[in-house]
Amino acid sequence: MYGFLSKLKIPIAILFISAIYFIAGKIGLVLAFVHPSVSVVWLPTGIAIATLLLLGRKLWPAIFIGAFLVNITNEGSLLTTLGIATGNTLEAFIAVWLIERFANGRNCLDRPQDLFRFVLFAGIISTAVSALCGVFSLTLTGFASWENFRPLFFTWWLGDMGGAIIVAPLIISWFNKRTLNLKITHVMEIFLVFLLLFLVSLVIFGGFSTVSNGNYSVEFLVLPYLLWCAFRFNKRETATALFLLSEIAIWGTLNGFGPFAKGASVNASLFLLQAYMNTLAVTILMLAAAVIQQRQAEESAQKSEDRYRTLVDTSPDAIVVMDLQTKITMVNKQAVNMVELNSPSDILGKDAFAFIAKEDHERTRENLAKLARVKRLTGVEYTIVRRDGSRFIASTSASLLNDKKGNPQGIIVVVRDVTREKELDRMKDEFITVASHELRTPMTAVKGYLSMLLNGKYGVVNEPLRKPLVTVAMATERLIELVNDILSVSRIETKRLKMTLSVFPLRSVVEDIVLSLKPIIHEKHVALSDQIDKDVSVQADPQKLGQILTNLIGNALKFTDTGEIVLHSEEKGERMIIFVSDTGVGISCINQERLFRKFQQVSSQQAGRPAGTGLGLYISREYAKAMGGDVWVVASEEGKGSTFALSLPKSGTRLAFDVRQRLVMQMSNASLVDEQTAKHPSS
Amino acid sequence: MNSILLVEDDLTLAIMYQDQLQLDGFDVSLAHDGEEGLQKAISKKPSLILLDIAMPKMDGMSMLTELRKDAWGQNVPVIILTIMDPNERMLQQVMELKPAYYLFKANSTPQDVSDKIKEVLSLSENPQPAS
Repeated sequence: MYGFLSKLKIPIAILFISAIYFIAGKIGLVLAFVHPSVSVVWLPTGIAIATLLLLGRKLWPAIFIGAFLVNITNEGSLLTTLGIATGNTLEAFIAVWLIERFANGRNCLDRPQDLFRFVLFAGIISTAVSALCGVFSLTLTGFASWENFRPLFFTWWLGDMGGAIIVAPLIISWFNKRTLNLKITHVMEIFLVFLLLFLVSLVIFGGFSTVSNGNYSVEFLVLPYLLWCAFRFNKRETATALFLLSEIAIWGTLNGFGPFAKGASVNASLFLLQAYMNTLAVTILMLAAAVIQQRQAEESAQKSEDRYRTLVDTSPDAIVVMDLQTKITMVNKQAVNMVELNSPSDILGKDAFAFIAKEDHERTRENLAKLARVKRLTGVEYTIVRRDGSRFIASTSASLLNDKKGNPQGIIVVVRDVTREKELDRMKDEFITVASHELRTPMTAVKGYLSMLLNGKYGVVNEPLRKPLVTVAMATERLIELVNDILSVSRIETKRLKMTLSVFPLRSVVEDIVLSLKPIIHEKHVALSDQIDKDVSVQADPQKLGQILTNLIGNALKFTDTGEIVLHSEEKGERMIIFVSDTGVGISCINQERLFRKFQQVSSQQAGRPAGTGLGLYISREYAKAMGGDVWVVASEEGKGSTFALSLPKSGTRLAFDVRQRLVMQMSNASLVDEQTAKHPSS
Repeated sequence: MNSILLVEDDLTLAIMYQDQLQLDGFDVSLAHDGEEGLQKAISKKPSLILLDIAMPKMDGMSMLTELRKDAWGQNVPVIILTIMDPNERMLQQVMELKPAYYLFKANSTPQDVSDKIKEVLSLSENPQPAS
């Protein structure tokens, strides 16, 4: 009906509402005993407030028209009627404006604090305005005497109050959107409580028992049923029960029954009844609102708990909470699945060590002690044992759970099965290994045969033939270099780079490299001055350091035609820096960083120079970084030469220690694949 | 004449090394996998074994491990000829099996290989007095 009303065009809605108001007003005036225009039971107030609250204050003309028609057809002049209608309209308008502004609008029944304001605005303030307007209109136009002002005012006020407190909540609660609970047990319970309330009301107010006419305060016997409504059902049922009780009580009192039918007049009896009903209604509605609020708080807490639970259960990782003695106190579904058990109860209460492989126990204890210090440990791998004894590798992340004071109460561990990742890593390794094998084998054959041809193993090679054969041999060398570099790049990019760090004086590597380059140095007529302090010990992978130095010095040789190449070193903090300076072609600023990207070479100046793969500096830098150092251009000027630098951690420094720790972590997480992986599938 | 057993599964490479060695005057016999290699080594007792690592059926490491258990095999000079980058663990295993040389195919020409063989054989024929 609410939806239907809201869709009506405003004039039709006004017509419809004023008609309802008119009918309700006429019924109300039947109970006008103290004055033909003043009734102690005035339902239209509730209808007016509820209508403007639900459908909008713009419908106020409906109230005015309704009130006007009720009174114009009653006794009194046009002026009186206009005054009363204005009062009635103002009443609803003021009540709704205040409720909307201060009492949460149409949800004013949901919280005790809003309901309290509703009673204050709609029940007390606005109704007083209407009563004042009405009674003044009657008195000023001579339809009532000034001596009667007070009783008339209070009767009017109380009558409107009843309408506001009992009828408005009824309408608001029914037309405010809320789904009905149609569960059979619920409906039966409502039916039962309403039946009991109906019977008890009849007994108390309907004169069906002598008890209703005795001098007893039996009116309080309805309380349990109203409380039942407030605690078990919603405000809608509670408001309905109050309305039902109110109607029976009015009917009984009018017929001279019940505890309130002892007044000096019918009006006095109704006055007492209204006072009782209004107090009861406010109390019970307040209670209902408190119950609703409590229920909503519980529901929202439950929802939040459910959401959290769903989140935890849908996690692809196992989540395990344990106390400080490693007894498991909570797990999610994934944890249960991971160890192939049936339900959380199979895990709860057990010691977490029961699921960790024996060989990892010592390390686990060490990590627990460490966790107490660092609060959080991530990326630690353990072997987890399933119910059937099978095992898998899990990567874990553990945090301390603290209470409000910050004292540790337990440990939360997120466990991820990394079997698949391990398998992928193994496959990456295998790919690189197989690719190395398959690419290098034919190239070795080409290179080998070429060298045998050139050595005259297959007969004398005449001069015209020798030249192209030498070219092929050089191209083959380049191809081998390229394949080696590409394999290095793929190791770097798949994070399968393996470093074997050791501590050694620079001498052991630098001297070898310089010696191996001697023939080229000699050929190029370039001087090489080696001023490196070779007694300083560094921490590096000697083989990789050799590759970097070969690359840097090789590049210097490649791009220098006259002058010299100088190698020198400098200690800087925790690092040892090796400089390779040349007097070669130099590199423009734009090209300096570009050189460290893959397949980048300074092409314009390369005419006539031996081609490289364009990967050397990229690989050198990545190798250096993996060892805790770097490779960079210190200075370079076109036509004047370049200086490249390589930094490495000095042995015994904090930096060296950190790099080693990092590498150990990576290595322990990586599987080693040896040559056997490259076995031919066919045999 | 010095006899060489070449254990190499790649036929192209096997013929290449065989060519070089035969031209250098060695008596070369071929085996295509570790199993055949082990069998021929025990039966033919060559002066030196040139051994590949990655091979079907039985790889070079396993063959060498088995060979070193044999009374004759424990002292025969072996040159490992591999295409792979070594890793630390593998190098350790290899060293325990006492190869005379560990050569990378891509870095060594057939002539280099032949030179190493000559060097090893001249050493094993005229062992240097321990110092």
